[in-house]
Amino acid sequence: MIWPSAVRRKHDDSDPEARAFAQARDADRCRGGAVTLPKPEGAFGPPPSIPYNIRMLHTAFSILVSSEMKRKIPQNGDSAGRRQFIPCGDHACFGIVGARRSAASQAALLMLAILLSLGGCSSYKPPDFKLNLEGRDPTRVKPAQREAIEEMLTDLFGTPDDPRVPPGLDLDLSLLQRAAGPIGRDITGTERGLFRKHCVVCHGISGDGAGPIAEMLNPYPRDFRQGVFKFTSVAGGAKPLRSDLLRTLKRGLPGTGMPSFSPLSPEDLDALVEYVRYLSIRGETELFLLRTVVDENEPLPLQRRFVLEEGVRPIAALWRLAEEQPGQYVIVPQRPKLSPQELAAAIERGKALYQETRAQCVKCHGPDGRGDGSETELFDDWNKAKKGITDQQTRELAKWFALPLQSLRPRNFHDGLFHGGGRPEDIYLRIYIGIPGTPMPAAGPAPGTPGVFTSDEIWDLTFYVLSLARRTSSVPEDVTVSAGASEKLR
Amino acid sequence: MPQKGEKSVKQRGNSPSHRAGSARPLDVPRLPHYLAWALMATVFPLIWMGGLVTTYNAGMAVPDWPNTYGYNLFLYPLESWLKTWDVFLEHSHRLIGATAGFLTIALLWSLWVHDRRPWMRKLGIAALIGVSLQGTLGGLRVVGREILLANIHGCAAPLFFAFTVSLAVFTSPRWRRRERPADDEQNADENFRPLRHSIPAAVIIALPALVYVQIVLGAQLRHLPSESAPGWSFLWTILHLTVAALLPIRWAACYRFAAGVPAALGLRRWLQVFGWLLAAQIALGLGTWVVNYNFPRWFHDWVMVIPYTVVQGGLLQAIVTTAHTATGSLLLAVATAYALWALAATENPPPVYGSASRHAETST
Repeated sequence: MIWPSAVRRKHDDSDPEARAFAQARDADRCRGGAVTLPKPEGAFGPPPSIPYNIRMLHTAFSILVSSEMKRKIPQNGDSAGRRQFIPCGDHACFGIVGARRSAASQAALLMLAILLSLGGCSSYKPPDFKLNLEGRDPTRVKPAQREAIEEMLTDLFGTPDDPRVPPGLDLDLSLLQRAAGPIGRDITGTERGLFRKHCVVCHGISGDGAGPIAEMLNPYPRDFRQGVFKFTSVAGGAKPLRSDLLRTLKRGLPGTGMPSFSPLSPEDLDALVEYVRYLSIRGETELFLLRTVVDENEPLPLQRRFVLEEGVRPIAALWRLAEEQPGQYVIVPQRPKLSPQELAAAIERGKALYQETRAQCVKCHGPDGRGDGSETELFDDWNKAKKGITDQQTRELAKWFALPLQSLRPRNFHDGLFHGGGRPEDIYLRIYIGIPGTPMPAAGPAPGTPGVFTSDEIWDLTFYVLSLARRTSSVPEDVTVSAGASEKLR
Repeated sequence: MPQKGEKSVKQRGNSPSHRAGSARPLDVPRLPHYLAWALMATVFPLIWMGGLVTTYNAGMAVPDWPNTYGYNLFLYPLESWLKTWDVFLEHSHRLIGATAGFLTIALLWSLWVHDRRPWMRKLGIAALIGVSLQGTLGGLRVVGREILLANIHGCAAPLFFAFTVSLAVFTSPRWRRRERPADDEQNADENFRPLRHSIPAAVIIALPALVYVQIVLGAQLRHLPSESAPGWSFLWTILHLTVAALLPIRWAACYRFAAGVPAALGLRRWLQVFGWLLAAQIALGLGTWVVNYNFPRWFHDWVMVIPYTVVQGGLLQAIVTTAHTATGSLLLAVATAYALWALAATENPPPVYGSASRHAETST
């Protein structure tokens, strides 16, 4: 796809030599024209069971053989000089028969050996998903329980390098494979490892929001494993739509570490959205297993059918629900076109609504919308469990969590910084749906709930909030609708 | 550096303080010096390209090595090379690296032919070994998919760049003039006579050493393994910030020392360049955080609220982040040049290799 000429040349069926070469390269990663057989386990590289130094030395040897093959071909012998697989320990190397190493090559090999011994303390180990023991005393989880849960999860969902989709789940495996695995392109030029390339530094391999850099960020990156997402278009705490996740990826979250991925191709974005859904469903299944096995002492071994029927399918149904039932998601009505006088009146009405007790805006955002309400200790769902009644309790709880306790601060509207986007439509949605996983409540109706405000009232509130903002949040140009909207609204 | 050296020779010709004669240019071949400059000028863009490779996570865009998608490195089709951004970056990085390798070979050859200083030839061999090791490290990072090797590769690059700077210094006419014996009236450089209060070498070397420590710390942040615990990034960041705070202090101390040496040596100029680069580097460092992770909350609380959205893979992010990496290497290069000239100013003149070899050299 990406490298048609290169791929065609190496996959030309009419050339048996090239075909053998291509097959070998597909089976193992190329080492400069020298390819090992048989096919190794795992996605890349020789079997990880082989010690790192040995693997690297073999690689060095293969490289040297291949680099020497043009110059050192002997002139006699039928097979001499032919490219074929030649014995190399317990496997075969693709190289030139009769190729010999010169003194310079041997010196280079020695140099490589020294070099590699420097890096010998490390080796590529395919990463594993980390068991979600957040908020649990790890000593209370028996090794057998832990093993059973991990085995079941691997059986159903695979590994970070090799994801699987359990039956009944609406996930596209080809997209998952594109997002999973180590960073890089395969020999056909197809890019893999998108999640590790773009997301893992913050969200972590398991999607636990505790990536290497997470502790430095405020707010913390999202922990996908509870299946809760802040900025959605679904009411009643339902699962987000694909389009919700895609919108967050495209636009990013202004004022936070979550970037806009607008430069990525639509295919890459789709793959990332699918992988986030995969991690969420896997995480929710993991929580189900922990509840069942650890909290409720379900007898071991776990039955796959039981897990599928009791755990995976209900979760999958929730994820399908929002997509398949139009009533679940909120369609933002057309923004009313108002004259300056009408707009001023709408802002006044919004101000009055803001002060009303049924709205409860003042409690957190303060009487003037400066984020200085009476509620001072606010936490989102991901941090609530870290908060003890006393400071001592909080300190003791901290050891069972990957990241320290982080409080939540209500938005100061005067800053004009809205994480979910600064367009009037974005503010409308935030007021209507609330922000799942946080104390920000929903004001609009949801299935089974009448709602606090009508659509018109929510627009009035939106205009009032935006009238307070000095400027709106920056979003990439292709999705900016109302830069300077607040100025017009004044 | 060398140009400055030549310039100062002319200046000193009219200076009353320079009474050692007309100081006419040395009759030594300039080819090694030009090649050392060419190598240095190649390695810097190579570092830029390597930085872009890391910024765009393009290190594995080409899955094989030393070939590129089965092609010989130099025969990879232009169309394919220019088609995909990350492949373009990685393949270009390899090509520039190969160019640096060829230039190193040429430099070694020129040193062998034109430079009779045995230690200089050894440095030439060291350069060849260095560039080979660095290239091999890069290749093994690809075939072994080792982020640790990427880390070492990234740390070694500025070191090699600094080494090429030292080669350019050692082959410069000004340095060669310094090596003349004191009785060589015509070519002796009076400025290089030992200072009254010599500074310990360790104090001088501390500046480039500190810069290098900072580069290594930065590399740890750039090459965080995906499974490392969150605490590591915090530790590296704190250490990185600490050394960033120490560097201006170290620089100021060096500048104070440089005030006591003859201006013609150019130490102050090196330190001025270093100072400007350091200021730019600190600004770039802060910018790197912002374009990657946005403004920190304390900035919003205490300074001002800037509604900014990070754009992953955006031009601003790529340029600022990579410029921070490249400027770090440039700082090391300037600090190395400063340290070499400062050492030359404070230490005794180097041993003379004998008049026979010297005459043979000048007649080459």
